Amino acid sequence: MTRRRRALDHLREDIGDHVEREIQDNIDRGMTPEEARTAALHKFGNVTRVLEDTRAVWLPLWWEQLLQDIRFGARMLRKSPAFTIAAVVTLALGIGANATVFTWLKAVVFNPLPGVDAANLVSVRWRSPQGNSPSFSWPDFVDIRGRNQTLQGLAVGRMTAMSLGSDDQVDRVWGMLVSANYFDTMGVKPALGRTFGADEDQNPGGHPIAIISHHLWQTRFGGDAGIIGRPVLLNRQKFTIVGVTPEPFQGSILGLRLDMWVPAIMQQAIFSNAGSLDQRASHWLEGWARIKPNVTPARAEAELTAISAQLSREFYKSNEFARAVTTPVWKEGSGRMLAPVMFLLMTVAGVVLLIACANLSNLLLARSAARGREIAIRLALGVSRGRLIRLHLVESGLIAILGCAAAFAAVPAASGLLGNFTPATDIPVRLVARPDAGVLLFGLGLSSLATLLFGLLPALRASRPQIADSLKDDSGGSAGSRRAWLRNSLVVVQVSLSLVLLVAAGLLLKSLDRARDADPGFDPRNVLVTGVDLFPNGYDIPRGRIALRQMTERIAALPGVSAVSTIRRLPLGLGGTSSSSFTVEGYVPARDEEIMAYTHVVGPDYFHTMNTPLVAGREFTTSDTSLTQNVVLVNQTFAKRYLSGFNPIGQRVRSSREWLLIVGVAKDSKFQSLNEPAAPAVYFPVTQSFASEVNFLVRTSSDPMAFARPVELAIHSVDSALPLYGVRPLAASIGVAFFAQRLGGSLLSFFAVLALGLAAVGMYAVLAYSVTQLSRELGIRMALGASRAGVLRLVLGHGLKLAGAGLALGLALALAVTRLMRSLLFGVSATDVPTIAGVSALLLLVICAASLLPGRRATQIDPILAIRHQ
Amino acid sequence: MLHLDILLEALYPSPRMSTQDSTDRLDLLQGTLDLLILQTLLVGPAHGHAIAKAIERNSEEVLQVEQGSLYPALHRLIKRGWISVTDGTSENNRRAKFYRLTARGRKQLRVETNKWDRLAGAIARILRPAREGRQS
Repeated sequence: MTRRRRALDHLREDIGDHVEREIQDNIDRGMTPEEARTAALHKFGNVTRVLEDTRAVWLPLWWEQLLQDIRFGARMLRKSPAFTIAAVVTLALGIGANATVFTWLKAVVFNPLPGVDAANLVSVRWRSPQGNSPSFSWPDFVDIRGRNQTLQGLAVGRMTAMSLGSDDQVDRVWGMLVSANYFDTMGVKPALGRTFGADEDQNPGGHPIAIISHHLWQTRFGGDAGIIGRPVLLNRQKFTIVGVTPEPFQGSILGLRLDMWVPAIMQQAIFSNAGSLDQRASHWLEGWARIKPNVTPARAEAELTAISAQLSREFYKSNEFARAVTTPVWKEGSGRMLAPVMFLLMTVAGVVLLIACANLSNLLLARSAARGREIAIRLALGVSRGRLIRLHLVESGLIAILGCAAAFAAVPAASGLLGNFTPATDIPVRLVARPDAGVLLFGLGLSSLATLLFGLLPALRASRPQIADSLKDDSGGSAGSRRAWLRNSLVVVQVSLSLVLLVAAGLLLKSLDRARDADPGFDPRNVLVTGVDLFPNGYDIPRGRIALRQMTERIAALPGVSAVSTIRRLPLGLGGTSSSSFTVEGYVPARDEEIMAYTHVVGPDYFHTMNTPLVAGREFTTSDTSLTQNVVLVNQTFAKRYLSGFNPIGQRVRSSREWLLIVGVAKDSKFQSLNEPAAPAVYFPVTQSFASEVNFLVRTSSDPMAFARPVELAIHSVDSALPLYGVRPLAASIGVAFFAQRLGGSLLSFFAVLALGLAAVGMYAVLAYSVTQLSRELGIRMALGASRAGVLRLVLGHGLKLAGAGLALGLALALAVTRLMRSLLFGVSATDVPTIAGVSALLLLVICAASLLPGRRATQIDPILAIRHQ
Repeated sequence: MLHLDILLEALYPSPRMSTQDSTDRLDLLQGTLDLLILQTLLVGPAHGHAIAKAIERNSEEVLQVEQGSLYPALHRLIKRGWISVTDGTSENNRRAKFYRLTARGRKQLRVETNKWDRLAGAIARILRPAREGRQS
């Protein structure tokens, strides 16, 4: 530093000395001192710039050369703005698409739980010998937490909705009953107050305390600084807020935002139909574990399984035990659904970038051909090839930097688009996708890679043209044709890649279409859904039944309502399904066979309301009550599988203690997904088996949302304080079932169109360039009598030949690739001929259009001008 | 590497090259300036002002150096080890920095002079291909 300053002082002295001498010379020549000084300074030039330039000389040589290259590259880019804009926009689209998808991928896979350290964090499930997946019971949790050696922490929790507030304002909030060590296990420190202490796992019912989310604190409590210690009503009971979680934290379930956490031992107050804290057989808690750093998941699983075996022996005197299964948190919940789509989109975005790079390579090749003479002069003068390649790469790098900057201007807005695909559901879905430093790094890495990809080939090419040829003639001899070969293959690759994307997008869109038209076994049109949750609002079972019946009657009395019923969990929703094992009277199961069936709790008139036909018997009515015979309906598959040869009506099944009489058989309908295989199902009447969370289903004569307000009033005429949630048309609710396809289909189509556009531009550029290059040849042909149509045919034929090669290659690729996305397809084979034929035709059409412009230009060549020009 | 660099620079009209508006003077290419400095120092060590004067005089004022641009060039040559600098006293007893040609610089000058002749020949041929074509 000081050495540099000393050098600068010396330089100043030297320059001062120089100017003094010049002044002296001037005075000697007879000027006045002022004139002499002015003339000397004028002759010397700008002193500051000289100082600056000299300092630049002191920089390392490579740096100096790089600066020169950058200056030169920038000037070349400024000189051809059309090229620069085309290149920058192409690259910006490629990089922007990748950075956006990467932001999403990060949100779903790499940073699935914001505010939680996800490293070594797994969810823990159990797999019983019968193939069931029981969750944790509280006593099991306490024992396993105490006995394991491989875990840093083991926590359990149960997500549930709660009613927050008092009689005048009640809100439904989603939260979780958690073990006291939950926040420690997640690695979450409170933003305000404290988290739960170990003693808050003791003394059931004795710790009415809650921790709220930052979001709830801000929205419901206005960010009140005195929130700690403030009492609130949760499910009509008094709780005290002891902490606020930090802002990014939104719970431990991917894609959901929870707002309230309460100790698990307060379960009686919060969670209605749960099992109990002291029963080992009551499995109601999900588990999360943080595995110790040097322990593999497999070892942790082995240890947990061993403990499970110990517990079975100790408490059940049984040798049967459940095995532990750990899963990284990002593979859970909506991650399971979204992760494959995200990986698909990431691949697709990568392909789009490749196409963009091919385009840029082509643009640069064409341009370097146009600059062939300049480059040839340089080589003739002995410039090293390395230096020339670097010069080209610097130019590509400048384009990359501009493209990257343009892309990042758009990424924040684009990544927010993920929210637009959020499915309609009553649970608090919230995927946070915000670009951050990681995304920026990814984008920068990508653009460096892109620079190499699209810059290196033209740089290598350009730096070894046939010197003599280029100096003599522009229209290209052997070197020209070799370069043309390279350009042509790039276009072929582009066309083939965009065909692959078009096929994939076409298949997904067709799946979506098929899914929309698929028969789910009920009629979702003109049905309004409204959810209520009775237990948190002070209902017990008898009062709940009465309220449900009254509300149903009042809604049914509304004009325009043709039928009303209820169901506990909506079909094809995100709420999940439940299933039980059954015993069927008269059916002898095979060894190890367990009769498992989906169970649904529905109200009277359910099948009529849903337009699901009954195959036999009757459906539930208001006369099925707790005082009458316990009845169920089964679906066709159940009847076929377990009651074949009997009249199912009047047969009996048993799930727990009691025998249940089958009174009807309903046609199969879909509950989990549209492409699920037919599965046995059993329907229970809500009038005999109570459900706290209930969805009203209201069949209406017209737009169901027009009935939202009247239905709300009808329910509130029974209980004015009961909060309603998830008010929406049933058709919107079942959209969740093809959420992944919708997301994938929309985005893939976008990418496919982008790729097609890029390929068209690429084709145009190549043809336009070759028309320019061949203008003399074309001129001679026309002078010798070739017709304009003939010339047009020549150019179009060239374009079509390339398109045909690209199409053939693309078809082969597409057949290989679409096989991999079979799990996302519905009702369409991966080699659907109409789709493939359709998109191929579209591609050909666009390519023809892109070839037409240069073709037309070729026909307008004036033969005389073209020949004389050179 | 180094010797090629001069030639590449010769093709880049960089902003720190001095150019003059008047058309009857040649623009002074930077690489050429280096060459002229080396040539000037062949006679013996000189300070900056003297070098500028010598270049102007020897080219009969056709090549006009904006004197300031001499200094970046001098320092570039120092960095490459072709000239060195010492403190000394000038004719009228003033302290000044003297630049002198090193052995490497002397060798370089020979190489560059050679190359310059080739370059001039090449450019001449490029600029007159048409006439040659007609003659053949």
